[in-house]
Amino acid sequence: MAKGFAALDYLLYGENPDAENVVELFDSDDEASARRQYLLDVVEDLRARCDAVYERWSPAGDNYLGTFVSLTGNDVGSATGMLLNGAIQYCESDVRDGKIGIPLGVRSLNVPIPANCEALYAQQSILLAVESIKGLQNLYLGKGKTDGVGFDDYLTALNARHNGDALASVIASQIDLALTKIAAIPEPYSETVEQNPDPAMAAYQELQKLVVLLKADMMSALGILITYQDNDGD
Amino acid sequence: MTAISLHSRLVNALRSAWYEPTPIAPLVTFRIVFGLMMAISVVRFWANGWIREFYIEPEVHFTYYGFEWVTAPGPVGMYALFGIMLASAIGIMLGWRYRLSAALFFLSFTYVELIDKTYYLNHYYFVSLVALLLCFVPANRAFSLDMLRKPTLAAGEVPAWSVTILKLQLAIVYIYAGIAKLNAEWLLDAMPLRIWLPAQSHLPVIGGFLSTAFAAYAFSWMGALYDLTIVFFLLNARTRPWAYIAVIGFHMITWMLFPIGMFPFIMILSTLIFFSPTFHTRLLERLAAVLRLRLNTIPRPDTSNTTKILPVPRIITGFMAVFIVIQVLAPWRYLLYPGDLFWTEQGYRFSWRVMLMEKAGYVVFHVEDPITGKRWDVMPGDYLTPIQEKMMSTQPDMILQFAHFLEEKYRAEGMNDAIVRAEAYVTLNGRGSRLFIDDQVDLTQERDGFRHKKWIVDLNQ
Repeated sequence: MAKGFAALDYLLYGENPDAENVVELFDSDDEASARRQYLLDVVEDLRARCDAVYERWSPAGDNYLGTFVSLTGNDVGSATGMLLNGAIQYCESDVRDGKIGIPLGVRSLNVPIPANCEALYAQQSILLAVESIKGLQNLYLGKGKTDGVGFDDYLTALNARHNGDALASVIASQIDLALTKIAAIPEPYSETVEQNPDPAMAAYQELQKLVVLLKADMMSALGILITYQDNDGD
Repeated sequence: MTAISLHSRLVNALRSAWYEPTPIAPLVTFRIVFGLMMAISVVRFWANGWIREFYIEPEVHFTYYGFEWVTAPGPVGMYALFGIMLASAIGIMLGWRYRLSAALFFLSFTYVELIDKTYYLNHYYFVSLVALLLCFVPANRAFSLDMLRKPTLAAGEVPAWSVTILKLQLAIVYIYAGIAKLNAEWLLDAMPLRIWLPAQSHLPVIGGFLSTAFAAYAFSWMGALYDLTIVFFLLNARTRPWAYIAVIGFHMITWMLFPIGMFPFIMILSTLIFFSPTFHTRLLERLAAVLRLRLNTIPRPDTSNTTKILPVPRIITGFMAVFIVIQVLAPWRYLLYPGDLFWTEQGYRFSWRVMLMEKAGYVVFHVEDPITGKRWDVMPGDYLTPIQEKMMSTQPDMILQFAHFLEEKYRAEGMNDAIVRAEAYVTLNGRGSRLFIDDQVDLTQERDGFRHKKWIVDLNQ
């Protein structure tokens, strides 16, 4: 059964992207009530999942937050290890590949797969990719409700260098550059991948450089391990 | 002192270290603790799920050059191999069918190590070497189950070479680990400890100290000094007790700070062999008392004739000589290659280079169909486990192996002669990541081997 954001995308934009007709589809169409119910069910399912995650983390609930914060250290199971391994995996697999590369065909013999674009019907693939990297940027810079301590500060405290420059600012600049390049990709992405792939390829390559900086340089400088295996130092 | 008397003193020393009888007790202790540590190691490996994770689940394995015929034998075979390893380790410990146990342990352990170089650790290499030596030394002639089967085996003394060779093996490990630390990055930049120690700054009490540059330099210099000198302090009876306290302290610190598994305990217990025969005889007598064994399981050394010489087959002396010469030379083979050793890793393994570098990388493979000209990317993570991917991304020979794996994969899918290029970036000891492999080279045209790999980009280019 189709659910999640992909189902919402189809329900709201899939059959007719014209705004007026959308209201009609949910209001006066023959199947309006079934469509309404489906929309409500999908949204309810999303909310239930978000609530469940919130409940697990909340100090008022299962308080995984407390557990998470207590996991100090630099191994795979530490808070830092899990957070960064997860964030980099997200940047690499979900954003670089999932949102940009795979629709572009970098994994499929150069044959674009427009149907794999995120928010295909809403035509907001690029907007969402930008937001994803902004999320990563916030994590890196420690920006939430307030501007707090981030991994850039950690790298600065360790005096990590990158070929003469401060690694902290090299990564920050690369995030900015990747954001600029992604934002420069024209929507709808499903058409861009076939008709005008160059800006997308440029963004893909900047994301690639970002992944190298995060996965090799940052993880190395922070001394974070990726496995529990015994290690005698490479 | 004349040259002749020096020469004769040397000959005498060698003769006594090799041919003269020496009490068996140190050898027996070594046999017991080694068997015990190995049994524990196998159980730990098994319990951690590593047999499945490392040898059953991966789709691809990175074999050693010349050992491509060593393959993972499937789930049943893998567990059988570890079963043999466990049983034979216990056999070594108990001195039960000792030679067979030692041979089986050596073969099963070494076979497993040869399956995939991803998991190469210097201490696994050490275990293989010691296991091979144990096949030759008569460590079951006291305090063993074999003596119950065959009481005539009992001997209070063994030819000195069987203890000497184990001390030599330990000396090689320590001294070469020390020599490997005599490089500018370790001594002058305190790398990689300057990266690794601050990562432990969350530890109570010592955490703050560990993030200081002073700590990194102190640990680097003390570590080098320890490795270079500890054997000599262990050999000298007067310094030995203090040296052994240093052994315990050094290895326990490394155990607390780094994920190095069983290695610290293996070294702490193995170095007991430097203690005197009297020490070991008392130790074994105490053990016998605890286990309520009859004391005559440890025959008394025959002390009536101290100048006695036991026959040692020439083939044993010859084999041991070759064994030592190979080990003494192997760590220097890197001099035959151009370029930075840590960067190219040509001649890096099997040289007791432990904890020397913080290296991380990232590699993407670009594949091209030569007929259609189509290009696409392959992410190694689709075929490799995270640890395989991490190890491959910094080691040229593994990158080459993976390129060949891809070529074969596409050939099986009907594409002949796929072009495979690697785009790899590596950071070494705090240098920023930089291009590691010539990204224009079709790696399917390159062969593995001992020749210099010209397609590794120069570190300082």
